[in-house]
Amino acid sequence: MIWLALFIPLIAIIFVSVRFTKRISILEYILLFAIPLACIAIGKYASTYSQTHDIEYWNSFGVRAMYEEEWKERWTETETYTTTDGEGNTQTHTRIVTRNKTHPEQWSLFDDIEGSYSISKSYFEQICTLWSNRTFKDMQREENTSHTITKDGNAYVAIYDDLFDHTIPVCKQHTYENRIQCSKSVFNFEEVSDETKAQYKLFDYPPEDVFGFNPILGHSNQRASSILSHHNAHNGRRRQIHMMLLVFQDQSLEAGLFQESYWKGGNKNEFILCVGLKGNEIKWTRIISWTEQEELKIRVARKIKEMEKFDAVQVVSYMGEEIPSGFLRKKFADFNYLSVEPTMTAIWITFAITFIVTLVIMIIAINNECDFEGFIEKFGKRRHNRYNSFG
Amino acid sequence: MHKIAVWVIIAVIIVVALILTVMGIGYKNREVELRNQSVAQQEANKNIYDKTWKVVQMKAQIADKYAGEFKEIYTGLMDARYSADSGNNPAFKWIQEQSPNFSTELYKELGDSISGLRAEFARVQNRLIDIKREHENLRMKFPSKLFVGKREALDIQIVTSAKTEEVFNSEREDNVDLF
Repeated sequence: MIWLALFIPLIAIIFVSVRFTKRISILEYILLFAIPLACIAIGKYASTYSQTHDIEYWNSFGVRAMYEEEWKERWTETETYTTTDGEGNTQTHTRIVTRNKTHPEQWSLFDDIEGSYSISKSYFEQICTLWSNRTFKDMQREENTSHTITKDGNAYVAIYDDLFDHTIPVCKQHTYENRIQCSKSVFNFEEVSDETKAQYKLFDYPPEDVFGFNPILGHSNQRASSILSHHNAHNGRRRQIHMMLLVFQDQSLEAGLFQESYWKGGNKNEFILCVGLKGNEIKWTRIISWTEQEELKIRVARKIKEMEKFDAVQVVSYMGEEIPSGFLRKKFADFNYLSVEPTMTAIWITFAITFIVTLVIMIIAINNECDFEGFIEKFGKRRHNRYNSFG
Repeated sequence: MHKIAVWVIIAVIIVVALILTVMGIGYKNREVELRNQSVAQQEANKNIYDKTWKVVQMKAQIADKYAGEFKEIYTGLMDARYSADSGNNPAFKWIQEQSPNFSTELYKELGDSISGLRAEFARVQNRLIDIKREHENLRMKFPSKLFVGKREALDIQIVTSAKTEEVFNSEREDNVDLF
């Protein structure tokens, strides 16, 4: 539909070719078509991207922390520069210059999916204490560079000790294409109004917090949050999973259903357990996940429901032991059969922009001095000269 | 009309023809893609339905066997307990000795399997319905309608029960007594 906007520049081209035949050059005809075409393509891409763009959380864990001391290097290089004399002639010269560079001290954490994160000095010290190791590492800077090292700096490295309780979870946002959320597919969910959201106290996704992401919403238990984060961290790379626990106090099962609709079924790597409580008693459970392991979803919901009394630590421990081994992430490429059309607003905006751009180019093309015959003459003359120069 | 204008109009006509050709090829390919996908999904659905029944049957057999064997063991145990030493009061034995417990876990797992497999089957059927919806959109919406509007609608098979069909045909559901 959006491509129909192409008729605007095409009509404009016919118009100027009839009314202003001699005032438009070939290049201007091409621009009159190509620029609006680019505008339409951008409009389509932007609208599609904004509709399908979604954010998920990737989990990993720190495997190595490193402190690098400040170090300095010096080297020389040949620089080219130009000068202009009084008569306007320019000359190119070369000169040898000495460069200095200071690499400031830095603290970093490396995770198991090859990501690296800048951390504070105090956090580095905490990690070293937690993992109870810190070894000196000679960076051998002089051997790895032809530059002169004016101040040597080495590193101190701490390695993860493989203890579950000593896990440093890393949770990072990542974008992916989600065609479901904007489609009219039977798999899509109804829109949830603000009133419903307030009535059932539905949750929003927590903001990104790389080292402090809390996977439990609606209930505060530091120990349980930590256990679930650790399980997420250890299964992030292996099982591509992100588990969350949502606790609804004094809400009916409808809250779980609306939460699923509000989050459009969750992200592709998520396994979200919703638990409805009355006091400390588990009244209902619901799983939100795109995984096709339906039996796993039903079993987990049943087992948690059977616990009767809510104990966050017990629940997350069960989740960590039971879910990752049976979880298989849904491949969203399965939804590639869904077509995503630009929204009507995007189509109208693209039509308006195309019209304005076409009009502006048309006015410029008519009013400038470049005309069809002049362009042909100039182009033909240049070609003629080129052929002459080749003899 | 000036010669240049004529050439420009010819060029525009060529560009429009080119755009229409590219659009036509795109829509026709997409229509074929959806048609093939629906055929493949239909076959996959048969497979999943077959798997559903086999798994449920097998698990049910295991549960049955467990129940049968438990009954045999339990009956034998009780007979022996109450017949061999009839002089003592059996009520005290009941209190002192631990009886074997019948585990309902197998039945619960069977229930999970049935629910899970039915949910899986419902999902793949929904996917087929969704593919048909996409195909219908392609056939009926402008501008794709101009190119593939005359193609046949997809013929999909959705498995439901006679009860469901009856309810939808009559638009009545009277039998709602739970007890």
